[in-house]
Amino acid sequence: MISSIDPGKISLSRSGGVRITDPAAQQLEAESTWYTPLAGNTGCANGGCNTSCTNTTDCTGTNNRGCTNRNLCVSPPVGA
Amino acid sequence: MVSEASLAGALSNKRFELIILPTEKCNFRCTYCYEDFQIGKMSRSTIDGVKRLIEYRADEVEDLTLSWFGGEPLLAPDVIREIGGHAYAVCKDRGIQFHGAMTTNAYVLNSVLFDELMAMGHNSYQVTLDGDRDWHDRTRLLANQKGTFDVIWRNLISAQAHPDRFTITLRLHVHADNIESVRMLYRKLKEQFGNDSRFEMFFHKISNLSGDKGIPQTELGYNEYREALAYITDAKSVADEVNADVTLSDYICYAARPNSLLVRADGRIGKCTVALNDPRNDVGRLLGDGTLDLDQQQLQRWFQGYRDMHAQTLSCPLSTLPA
Repeated sequence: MISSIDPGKISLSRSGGVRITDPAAQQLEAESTWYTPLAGNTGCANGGCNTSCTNTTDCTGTNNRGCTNRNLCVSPPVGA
Repeated sequence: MVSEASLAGALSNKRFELIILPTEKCNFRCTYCYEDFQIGKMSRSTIDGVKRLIEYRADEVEDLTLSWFGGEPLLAPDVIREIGGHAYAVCKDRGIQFHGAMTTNAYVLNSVLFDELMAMGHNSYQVTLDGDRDWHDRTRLLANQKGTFDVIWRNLISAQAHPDRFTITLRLHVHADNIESVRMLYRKLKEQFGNDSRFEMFFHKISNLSGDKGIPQTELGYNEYREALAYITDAKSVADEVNADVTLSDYICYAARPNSLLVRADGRIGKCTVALNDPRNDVGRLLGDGTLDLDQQQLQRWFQGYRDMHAQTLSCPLSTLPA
């Protein structure tokens, strides 16, 4: 598990692309699909959810009982 | 400590979220609101810039989210149609997963407009209620001071008749004075929407963010709030059974995610939807050609939580933002 990323090594390109030059983050990226969203959540209405859902119908339902990570699957509140 | 999955979602260059304020005007005057409504509808240059930025990002991303915010975003439906329709078409053409989301007061979200938005992939909504009609109509007022509960309720019922899949998150504001009213509303919502999994409830502890101009609501303390949630919902375990701000864990706020940007109606780029008048939130500008003129140091203030994966800073970077 990565424990630190230097904020100074995170930047955005002029077209909004995320660029991270932190060695630990790069190492992890090289070893895994860390930067790639997981494919299992296509039924989830929340684009921020990158966790596989065991039941894509329930994933968007109350309390997201079918999602393996309820908190990520919950639509994140925007606002105060 | 946040999970690797949560980090992946926040840092991935394969996904991108734009929180767009098509207008910063609002038809409501909620008594606790922090916005000043000074900036009007998005200009032509900024609209064109957003559309081009979406095209640039489409070269790299696999997943695009547009989250409409305001002001009241539905006061500028033409901007939403133009940008949202463009994003939906670009994503469809290139095989990119598209998510259209909106934080709206739902006052003008009638069935015709809802159908139109759904047809262009906007299937996630957040609508706030401040309690049952008695309390809601004291704090979520129109600019002419009239109540809004009945119109919102009617629009929610209309949405329920739509045949397709969507999510409407009903954000229920709780403070010390409206607990009974929220309990009544909760029962009403369970009765109307309890068997419809497209409707979710999310509790939020409200405080007066408007400074002197709002009527004071008494903010609940942490333990009082959890007790209130248990009372309102009859939950045996608030942590396991209730969706609320206090039960979110492993959560990285959009303001801390490098792949999420706020586009204000005047073309300024920000991170946080609350600190709209805070100069630390001005991290750059969107140019008419779709490129971003960013101040990277200003931007990196919002990423401080990654230094030690500090849970509070990642869940609300504003709370510990460097001066």
